[in-house]
Amino acid sequence: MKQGWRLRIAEAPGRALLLAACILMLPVFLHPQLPLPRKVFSVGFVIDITQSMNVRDGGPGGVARLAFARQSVRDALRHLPCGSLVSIGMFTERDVSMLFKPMEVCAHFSVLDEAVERLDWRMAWAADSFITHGLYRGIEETRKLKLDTLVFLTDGQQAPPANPRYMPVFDGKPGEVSGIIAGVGGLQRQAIPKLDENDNITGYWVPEDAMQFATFGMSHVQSVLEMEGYHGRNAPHGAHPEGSYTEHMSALDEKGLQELAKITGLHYLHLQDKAQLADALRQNTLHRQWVASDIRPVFAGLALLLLLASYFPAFISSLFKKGKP
Amino acid sequence: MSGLGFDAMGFDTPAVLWLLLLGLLPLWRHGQSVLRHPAMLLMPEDRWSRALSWALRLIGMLCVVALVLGMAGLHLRQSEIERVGHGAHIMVVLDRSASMNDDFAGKYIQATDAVQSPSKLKAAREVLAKFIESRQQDLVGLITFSTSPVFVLPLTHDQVALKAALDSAEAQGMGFTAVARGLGMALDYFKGKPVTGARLILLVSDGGAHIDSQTQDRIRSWFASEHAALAWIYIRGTNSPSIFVQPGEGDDAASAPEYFLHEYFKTLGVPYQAYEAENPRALEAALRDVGKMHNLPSHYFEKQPRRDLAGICYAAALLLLALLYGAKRMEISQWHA
Repeated sequence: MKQGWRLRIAEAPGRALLLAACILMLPVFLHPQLPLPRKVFSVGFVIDITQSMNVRDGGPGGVARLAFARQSVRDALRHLPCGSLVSIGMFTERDVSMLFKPMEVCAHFSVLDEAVERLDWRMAWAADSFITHGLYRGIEETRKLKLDTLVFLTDGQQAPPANPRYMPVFDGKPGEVSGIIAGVGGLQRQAIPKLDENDNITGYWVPEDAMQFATFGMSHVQSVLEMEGYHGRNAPHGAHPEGSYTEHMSALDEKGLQELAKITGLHYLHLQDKAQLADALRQNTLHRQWVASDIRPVFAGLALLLLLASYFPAFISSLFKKGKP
Repeated sequence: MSGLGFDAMGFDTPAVLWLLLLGLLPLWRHGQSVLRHPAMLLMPEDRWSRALSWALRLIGMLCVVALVLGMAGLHLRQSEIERVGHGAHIMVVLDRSASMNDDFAGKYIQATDAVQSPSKLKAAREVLAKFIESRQQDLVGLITFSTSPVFVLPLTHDQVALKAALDSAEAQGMGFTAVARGLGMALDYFKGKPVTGARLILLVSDGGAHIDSQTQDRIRSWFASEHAALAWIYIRGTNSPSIFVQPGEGDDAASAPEYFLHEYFKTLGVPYQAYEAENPRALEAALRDVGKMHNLPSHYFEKQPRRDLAGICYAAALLLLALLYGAKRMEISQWHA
C-alpha cells in the first residue's frame, strides 16, 4: 500500500502534487484560527505642555518642542500594530491628566490622532512645571489604567526651581512600568517665547518674568547670623539665594532626565527625529499577547509550495523513486 | 462607497507580495512530463497544442497570484458612506471644576442612606453617556474645562471613544471655571468646516463665570458666524442660586455670575435653551429635551467595516488549481497505441 502511493507520485508527480494542493486549500474556507503570539503594545503617551515646550528647537526646521512631540506621537500611533491600546495625556504643574481610557489603536485611530494634534499649551491649568512630580504621576496613571508602557515627552524644564531637599520620593518599583522618557529640544539654552492667539512670537521671557531660585521650604542654614536677609517664613532663602539666574531660558535638561530615568527604570532617549519614537518603542517595550490569528495563509502557503513543485516533475519523481527498496 | 479606487484596498502583510515574483515560474517551466518518442519529430507543429500549453502556463501564473494576494491579506479598507438622517453635531463642553465633585442640592430620589449620593460630575457623565448611546446618528465631540479648556475628542460617531473619554473625566483644578474659553474652543473647532448638520454647543456646568464685555462680543460674533445653537444645562448645586430668578439689589455679575451668564446667553442671537437640573432625573429630562429640539436633517457618515477579499482570492486559487489538476489528469504518461 505504502509503496503504492510512492510509486504513483513517482509516476505522475504533477497530478499528485496538484491534488494535494487542492485538498490543502479546502480547510481555508472554514476560516481556521489559532492563538498565536503577537506583539502588541499598551502605551500611555504623556506630553509636556508647559510653556518652555514652545521653544522652537524641537526638531529640524525650527519646529517648536511641543509640535515636534506631537508629530512624534502621531508617527508612533501610525506604527503601532493593531490590537495595541493607547491613551493620551498631558503634563503641566505637578500633575498628569489623561484624556480618555485606553483605546484600541486601529479602530479608534482618527480620534486618537486628532486628540494628539490638538494638544496645546493653552490647555495647561497652571504654569508651573515640576517635572519629577509629573513623571511620577505619569507612572501612577499608567499603572492605574493598566498600561504596560509610559512614553513621557518633555524638555525636562523645571519651573520654578525646586528645592532639592523637598523632592518627592519614587514609591513605585523601578521598571514595573516600562517605557521611555523622550527628551525634546536642543541642548543650547534658548529664550522661552511668549505667543499670541495665533502662536506668533510676541516676545520672550526676561529674567524678571521667571522665578530664579527656589522659595519653598525651610532653610538648611542653621544659624540666622550666617544669612543676610533671612526671615523664617518670608525669606528662608536669605537675601542672596543661590540660583543660576537663567531660569527664563530653557534647554533640554538631559542630565536631569537621565537621573529620573535611572530612578524609575525608564529608558531615556533624546528625540531628534520623529521616527525614532516608534523604533524605540519596538526595542524597549516588547509585549507579547496570544491573539486568535488567521492561519489561512499557512494552508495557502503550503498549496503554493506544492503548485510550484509541480513545475519540477522530474525532480519530484526522482525523490520518490529513491525510496524504492 | 467612495469609488473602488486602488487605495480602497489594502494588505495586512504587504511584504508577502514579493512572492508574486514566483508567478513568473510558469513562463520558464511548463511542468509537463516529457515523453520522448522517435515519432515526435515527424509530428507537425500544432497551433492548438501551443495555445493550450500557454493557457496552462497562464492559469498557473494566475493561481500563484491568487494565492499570494490571499496570503498577503487583501481586503477592502474600512470606508464611510454618506447618509442623510436626523441628528445634530453636538460639541459637549463639560465642566470639571472642583465644585463638580459636590452632590446635588435637591434630593436624589433613588439614593438610599447607604448609598452616597453621586457627585454632580459623576451624574453628568452617566447621563451624558446614556444620551450619546441613544443618539447613534449624532456626531458628538467633547471639550472639558476647569481652569483651562481641554480638547478631548473631535466630533465623532465613535461611541467607544466617547465613553472612554467620559469615563476618565475627573474633577480637577480649582473653583475657577473657564466657561468663555471652553465655548471659544468649541466654536473654534467648527470654524472653517462646512456646515453639514445642525450645530449645537451643549454646555454642562454647575456654575457660571463672569465674562468681560470684550470676550462677550467676540463669542457673540463667533456664534453667529458658525451658526451654532447653544444649550446650557445648569447643574444646580447645594445653595446655588437659580439662573432664572433675578438676584436682589446690589448683586452683580461677580456675586451672581450664573444669572448674568444666562442673561448674556439670551442676547447671543442664536437659538438658546437653558435648563436647571437639580438631580440626575432632571438632567436626563433636560438632555432628552435637547435631543428632541435638535433632531434636524443632517449629513452623517456610516462606517462600512473592512471586507476581507482573501477568501475570494483563495476560492479563485482553488478553482485554478482544480483546472490544472484536471489538465494533469488528461496528460498521458505512456504511449499506449
